[in-house]
Amino acid sequence: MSLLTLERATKRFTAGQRETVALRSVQLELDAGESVAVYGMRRSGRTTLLRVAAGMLPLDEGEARFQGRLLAHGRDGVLGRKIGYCNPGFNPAQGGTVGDHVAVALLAHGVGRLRARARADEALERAGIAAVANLGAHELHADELVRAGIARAIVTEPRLLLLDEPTNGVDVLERDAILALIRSLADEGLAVLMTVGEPVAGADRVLALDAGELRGEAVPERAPVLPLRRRVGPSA
Amino acid sequence: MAPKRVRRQQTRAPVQTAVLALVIEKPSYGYEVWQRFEQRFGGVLDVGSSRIYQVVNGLLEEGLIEEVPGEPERSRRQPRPRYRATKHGARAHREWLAEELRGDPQQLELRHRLLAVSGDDASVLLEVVDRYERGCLEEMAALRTEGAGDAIAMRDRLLEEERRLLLEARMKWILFARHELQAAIAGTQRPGAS
Repeated sequence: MSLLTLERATKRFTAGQRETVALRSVQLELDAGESVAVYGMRRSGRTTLLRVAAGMLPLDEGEARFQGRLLAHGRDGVLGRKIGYCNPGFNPAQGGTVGDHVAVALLAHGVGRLRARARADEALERAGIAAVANLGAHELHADELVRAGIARAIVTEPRLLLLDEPTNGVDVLERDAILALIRSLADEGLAVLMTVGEPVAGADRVLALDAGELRGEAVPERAPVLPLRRRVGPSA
Repeated sequence: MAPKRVRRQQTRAPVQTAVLALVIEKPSYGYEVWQRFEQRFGGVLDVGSSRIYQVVNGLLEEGLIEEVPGEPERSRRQPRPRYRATKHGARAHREWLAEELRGDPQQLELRHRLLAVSGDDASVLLEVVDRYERGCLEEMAALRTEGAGDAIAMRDRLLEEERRLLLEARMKWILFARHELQAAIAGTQRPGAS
């Protein structure tokens, strides 16, 4: 059984009389330890795909399953716990420092303040930006914001990491280091699904999304391998 | 109108560039050149050992490489001569390498002409585009990134970036071609379309 499965996933949006099909009968399987990049231009449906995989959007047709269970668009509590969604946007209301921002998800799950902050610092270290823990989010460079977004997504030790264009707006020199970080997270056993607007290195499979149609090796040809490496993220 | 003639600028076979590069990297005797060729270019340039010796002789005749006395070997009375690049050879290698990186205009023209004689059936061409895209996606998945303790050499990084940018251009063309072909198919299926 794959960690994430999309089966004939179809999603439509309606604005006035215009209907847009964002996903057309998409098939996708993703296993632990695997990194899949979905290449697509703007309006190809790539962000919708991630939001469906996160369980944030209900489908019009088909189904999305995580660990064999139907994703119930926010009601099952897996998002922010077993599924990490990397978003480099930071809400000033959620805290002063980057460390505070990263700790928010743990505080929301009842972890004590000091413990949450310690784990946030560990996640920031794993993401390669321990030095910015006490800075404000507005002080970070583009690549540091992506890394902080990754730290915030992995702080709860998820099984699946979703990233929307992690290399967008990032300097060429920093891009490869971020891709290497993402690759290393997959190597440690995390399943990674990311959207990209440019060819990127480090993915096990690359799929193309255009007008909601997903093409490429949507189902892995190899048998799933359960990683025996250490778990991702800070230790509990 | 008669098709324009495309002159092949690259007069060197890739195997010649490869052998010259190997000798520049490390002066070697004939069998060693062949072994190193197999290690470094096997699967990309598949040629037999006799072709390598032939290329070595050709490079010698052109004065691009020269023989130097080999190191004494226990198992041999006569040490085998090694080949090393001359100054002329080193300069030629840089020129040839730039030609290889620039690509082969004749091959590009061949692709255009093959596509042109493959007919105007949009659905057939769409299938060709789909297959081409699958190949590009597989190439994308093979792009390398640095891992911990696995730093990619600078020259490999340069080549990887070029490969990545070429893939980006190809993927944009595929997107364009698919939309054009789909529009053509939709046009022919439209009632009353000519």
